[in-house]
Amino acid sequence: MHPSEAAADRPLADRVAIVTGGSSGIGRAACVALARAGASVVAIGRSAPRLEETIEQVRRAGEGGLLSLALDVGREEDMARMAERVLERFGRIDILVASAGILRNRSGPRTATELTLDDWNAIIRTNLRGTFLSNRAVLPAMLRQRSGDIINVSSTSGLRGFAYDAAYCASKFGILGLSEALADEVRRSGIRVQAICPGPAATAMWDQNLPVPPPEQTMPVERVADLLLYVLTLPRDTVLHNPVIVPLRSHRRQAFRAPGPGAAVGRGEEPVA
Amino acid sequence: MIGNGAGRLGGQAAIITGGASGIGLAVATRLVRDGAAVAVADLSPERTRQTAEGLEAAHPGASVIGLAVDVRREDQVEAMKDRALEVFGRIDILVASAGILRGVPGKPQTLADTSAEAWDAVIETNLTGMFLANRAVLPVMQKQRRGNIINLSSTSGRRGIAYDSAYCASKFGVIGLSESLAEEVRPYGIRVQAVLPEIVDTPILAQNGPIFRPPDMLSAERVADFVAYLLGLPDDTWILNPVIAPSRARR
Repeated sequence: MHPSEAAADRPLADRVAIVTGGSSGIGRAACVALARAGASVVAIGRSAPRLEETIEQVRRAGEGGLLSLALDVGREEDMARMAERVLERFGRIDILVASAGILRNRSGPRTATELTLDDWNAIIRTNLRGTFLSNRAVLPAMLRQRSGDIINVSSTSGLRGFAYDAAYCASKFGILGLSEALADEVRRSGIRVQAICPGPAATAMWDQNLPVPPPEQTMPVERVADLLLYVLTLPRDTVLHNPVIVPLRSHRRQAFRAPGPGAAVGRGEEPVA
Repeated sequence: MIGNGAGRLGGQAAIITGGASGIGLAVATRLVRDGAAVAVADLSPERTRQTAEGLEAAHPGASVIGLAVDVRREDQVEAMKDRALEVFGRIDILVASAGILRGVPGKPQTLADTSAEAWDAVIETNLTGMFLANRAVLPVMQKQRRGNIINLSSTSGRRGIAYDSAYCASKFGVIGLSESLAEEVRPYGIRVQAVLPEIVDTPILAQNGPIFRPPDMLSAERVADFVAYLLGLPDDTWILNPVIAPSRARR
């Protein structure tokens, strides 16, 4: 292969990418896409056995370095450990994809009135606190390098609230606020921070919504991974602000309308646990 | 096979309104490079002809035509569609980027000082022109059961900005138009997407007269590359009203 061809094929060759929520759903698809683009991939998740499955898929996809770390994004010391281990192993951190997220804690869909503080705290802890802690953990290395890309996975539920999803929506709105504030702080330091807002994707996260069935229209997680790769490989002078990617056939109005009585509930999105 | 079949848009035919300058020109250039047959539609007969000739000369094997059209005029927009269909035999893509910033070039104006004529000029080109261009290609795309429409809105289509009331009204309108149309034609295999660029370095800024130039601007090529990305998305997916911006500019 001609070298320039190789460069076009592997736009992220020699880059080191961390993906939280790497053990399933969008995070796993992101790991595979990053590996295919030539990056060394660090998959973060709470479950070592499920990370193993990701690592198997990543190994088949690329030839870059590979590391998985069973860590909890909600724990400050875990995130510090994440940055430490990655720097030990690879010497740099070029990319963070923060996609760790949950839709529910232990109970199924609940109105805000019925939502327990435990459930609220669990969702905010993983989705929002986890995004803050993972972002903060990689920043010192990126600031030293004066380069870096952070992509935080929000949701269409980060732009509009939906019934039965108060905690999830609050966490996803919060991710956009965090991302915009951070982007503004580091935009002159060579670090680009972007958030993406996927609509419903076909992931195991919907299992947390049982007995409510998953949305009728979902998109393959690869669509979201493709968008992640696209925003990561934009020229350095350009960003996309909170792009919304949705299945073409999902009826917009339906997707953006809070469900009425008797309607399917839980239009929250993306994955992992 | 029409166009230069080598690229990933080989076999597809596109109309670009506002195609002889700024974002439209960059999109036309990118689409020709990707192998599409392209109709460059613009107000000035001279510039459309030069642009089409220039693109054909730079891309051997490309098929490019120039069409002089005032997008405010229903008959001219229909004639534009008819001519493109006659030459290419199909219309797969419309990128509607014809737009102006000021009805009266030279000076930003408060709403209080905006004449009805200046208001009408902006709304007629940016909004009515977009309606006419979209409506013209729909019967063709519906028959093909396939089509991609990209309408150029702006971040001014999401947030009003002082001295830009007509422009902002028109660009908000483009989003409303695009969302309504997207729902109507989705069952026909037609995808309608609007794009919201932040400030782009194009000749449109000259309509502001010799006032400040923002330090951080996108090049038109960045927007064109993004339009090509949206056109190339798998058929089952779309991106809703994406904002593309310079990474170093404050939001």
